[in-house]
Amino acid sequence: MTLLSVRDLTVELQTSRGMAAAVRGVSFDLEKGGTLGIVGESGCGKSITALSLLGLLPDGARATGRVDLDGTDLLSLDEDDLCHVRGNRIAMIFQEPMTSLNPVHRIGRQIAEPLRLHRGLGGAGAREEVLRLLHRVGLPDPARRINAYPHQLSGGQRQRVMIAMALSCAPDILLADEPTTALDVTIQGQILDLINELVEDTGMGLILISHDLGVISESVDNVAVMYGGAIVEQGTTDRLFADLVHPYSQGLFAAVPRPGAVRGARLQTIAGTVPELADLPPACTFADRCAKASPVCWRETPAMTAFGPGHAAACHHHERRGDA
Amino acid sequence: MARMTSIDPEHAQGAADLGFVHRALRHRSFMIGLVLTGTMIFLALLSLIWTPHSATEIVIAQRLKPPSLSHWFGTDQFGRDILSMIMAGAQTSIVVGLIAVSLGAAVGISLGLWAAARRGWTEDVIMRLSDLNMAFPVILIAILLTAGWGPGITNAIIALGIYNISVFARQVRGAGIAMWEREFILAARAAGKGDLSITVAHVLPNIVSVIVVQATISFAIAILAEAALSYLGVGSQPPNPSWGRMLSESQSYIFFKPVIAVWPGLAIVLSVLGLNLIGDGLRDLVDPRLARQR
Amino acid sequence: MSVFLARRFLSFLITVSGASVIIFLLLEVLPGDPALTMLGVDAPDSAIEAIRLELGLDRPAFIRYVDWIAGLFRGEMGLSYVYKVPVTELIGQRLHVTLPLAIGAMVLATLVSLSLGIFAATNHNRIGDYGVMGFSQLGLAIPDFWFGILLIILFAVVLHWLPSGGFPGWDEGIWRGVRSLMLPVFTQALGLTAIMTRVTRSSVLEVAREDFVRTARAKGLSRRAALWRHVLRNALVPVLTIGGLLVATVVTGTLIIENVFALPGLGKLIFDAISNRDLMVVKNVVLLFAAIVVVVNFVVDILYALVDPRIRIQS
Repeated sequence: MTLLSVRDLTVELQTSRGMAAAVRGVSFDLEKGGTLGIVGESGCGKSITALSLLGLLPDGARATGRVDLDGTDLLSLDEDDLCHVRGNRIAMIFQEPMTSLNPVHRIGRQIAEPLRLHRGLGGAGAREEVLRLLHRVGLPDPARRINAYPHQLSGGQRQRVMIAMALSCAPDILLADEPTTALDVTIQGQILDLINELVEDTGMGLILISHDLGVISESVDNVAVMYGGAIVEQGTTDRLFADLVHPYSQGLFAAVPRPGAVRGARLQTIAGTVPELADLPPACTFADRCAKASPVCWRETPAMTAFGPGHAAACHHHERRGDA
Repeated sequence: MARMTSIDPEHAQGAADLGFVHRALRHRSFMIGLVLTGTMIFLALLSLIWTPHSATEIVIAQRLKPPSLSHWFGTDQFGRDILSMIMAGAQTSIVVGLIAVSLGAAVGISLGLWAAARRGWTEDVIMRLSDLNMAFPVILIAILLTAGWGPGITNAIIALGIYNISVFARQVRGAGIAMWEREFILAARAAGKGDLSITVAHVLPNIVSVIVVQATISFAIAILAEAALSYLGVGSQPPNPSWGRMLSESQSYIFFKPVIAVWPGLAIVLSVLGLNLIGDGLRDLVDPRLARQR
Repeated sequence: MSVFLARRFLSFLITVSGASVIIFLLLEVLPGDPALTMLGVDAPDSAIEAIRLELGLDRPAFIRYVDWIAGLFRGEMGLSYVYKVPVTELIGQRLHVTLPLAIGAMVLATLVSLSLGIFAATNHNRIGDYGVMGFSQLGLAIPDFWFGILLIILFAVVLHWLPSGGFPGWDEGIWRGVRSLMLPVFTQALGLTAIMTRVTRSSVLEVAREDFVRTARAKGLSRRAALWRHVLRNALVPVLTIGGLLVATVVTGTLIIENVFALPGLGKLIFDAISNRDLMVVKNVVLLFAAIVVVVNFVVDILYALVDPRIRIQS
């Protein structure tokens, strides 16, 4: 059953050079309890996509299209109704656990806030629930830590607190925006395992945003690759990684060092740099950096074409291969 | 990003200077500030060679005249032309401001740069001195000096100079420390350059904007303080024209000629406003990131 | 916390002692003979000799300094040479005017500037914001003594609503006292409000962009709730800093404003003492002013720690 259905989501942001599209016609579905990874470089629009699901876009931004959660279009909701969705039905954790917690409030109070807001829970009831949550996310010695301030915790511990906060109202969907990027490598695995375990146990859906293909491939069933605000390739994790079709996905994958690769073999890089939003090519946004680009790529936006069960890409030049 | 930060921004900037002028011309409040301050400086300079009437000559027959064609702002209780006094008074404000700010800037910048480069005990000493200075507002210092030496404009200048030393030292130290932590300075250090040559070649050029902004604001504060001290009678002494003293003299006549208390006040407000607008505008123009939140 | 307090207290002591040394040097050592300073160079030798004996000015400067400080610890500030009463008594009387004036102005300025600053920040780049910023820009440029004169012209000369100056004393009734202090308090509050409004506004704007505010909104807090529960307390730190620094301005301000409105407060006392060369009064009142500034900044440091746990609790 489809829990979240995003259709033709386009987000325009105010920049110093006028409005520019940061997200262009993005569509995807998330089943109940399903997991989706969105992968791409910084500036590809993946975080803006996530924020637009919560209606938390920067001032002056404009979002069009449809974002249906259980049949309700979130983009058409007013502020008050959106507040009932945020932290309650869709919860989010962010990249920087250092700055994402309020430095002047104890963590117990910060975790209890959504409980009070959405569940009407206060006092001892809230405290008990917070302790349970802290225990659930594996924060050592919750009874003592509940009174700690954020600066007294390590980065990994703070991200656990963020996760506890997101879990508090048993959301249908957890949005995790680069949840491990700011953490030490050793902690990254622990936090990722915790998120996967929680998704499995609670049956909530997960949208995991990352620039790290490794993180994505380990944690989600479905993947969408974004470039320049558009999804260029999407499919089930197995299918997609087995046979990358879009030149950008191939480039992204080729740029990751892999164990077992020939010693001395050079990593490939994608030519050029990510252009500013306003400078993106009009049709296929990857056209100016793509080795295979031809005039048609500058004229027509490539449609998302299925070329295998559970695998599609938007490229004028992908060749049908394998057992399509 | 790391690549960007290891380049000395001051040396990478050159080409942007033309853009600065263009942006400055379109910055409305900055331009208003320039016009106001320009007018004040122009009137002060003009008063050196010409004023409509004498700024000091007492003409009892002409006392407390309302504004007219020959006396645009009217005359005061001694029959002196108010416009001429305001023009000449601008000289006093500018001279006091210039000397006090230059004195404060020269000493304060050196101390601030020193504290930023050496840290440790030098920094402690400088910061304690500037704490101490905080306990003595300008007016209090001026009053102490007056109690010891008798009234005079020098007291105002010394008091403002001392105050500005601590202001500049604090500002420059803060900005300097931030510079010392930047990667292009680490690079210069790694290349074996000494503290002094790094300070002169890299730290100072990159905090010029901070200094210029502080100088305009300090200038504005100096004008206000000089006016206050002269109002209290411990600043500039008669017959030397001064906006502050004009106000204190006008106060005796406010019950039947309130309008003479308006002109010198307006002169102060417009001058200070002009300098503050320039300072704020400069801050916007050199740091567009800050501009958004202001 | 106690280490923090001890360190701040030590620096407070150092600053106040430094201030006393400076005052003493400036008044009694650097200008030369204090007896000459008090009576003027034209005074007859006999008078100068008399005052030397009377005030003990014939003793070495160092002894006089120690004597002064030791007296302070006993709660004695000596006799006013002009009024022939203990300086402590004079200060006590004058505080009846200066304290309500300073505190009234500070409270008024804080209330107005917090409201205006928050209003401007929540209406960022809209007409209300521009209005508030224009007001504060003007408030910064208007000299307080001129604003006082303008208020006198409007409320006393033209409208006859409030007295133009003077203070009847609290014995004449609370209301009469309050009426005489109204214009002075407004005058004093103008500049303070202008500065604090700007700081409040930019501080709120800055904190509102922090990640933890986005977190709060992602939890489901409305804009307003996020502002009150998460932004304001964090935004208070810079406002407190400026508030502490402004105490110096208030102290200076009383000096000027009591002159504008002819109020018998500490500022007027010190000012008259200078005209009368009453060194005893000058040095003690100036030290009191300096001490007030330092004490308030000491208190502000403690307030910081209360607002921000990162200062209170070292991790």
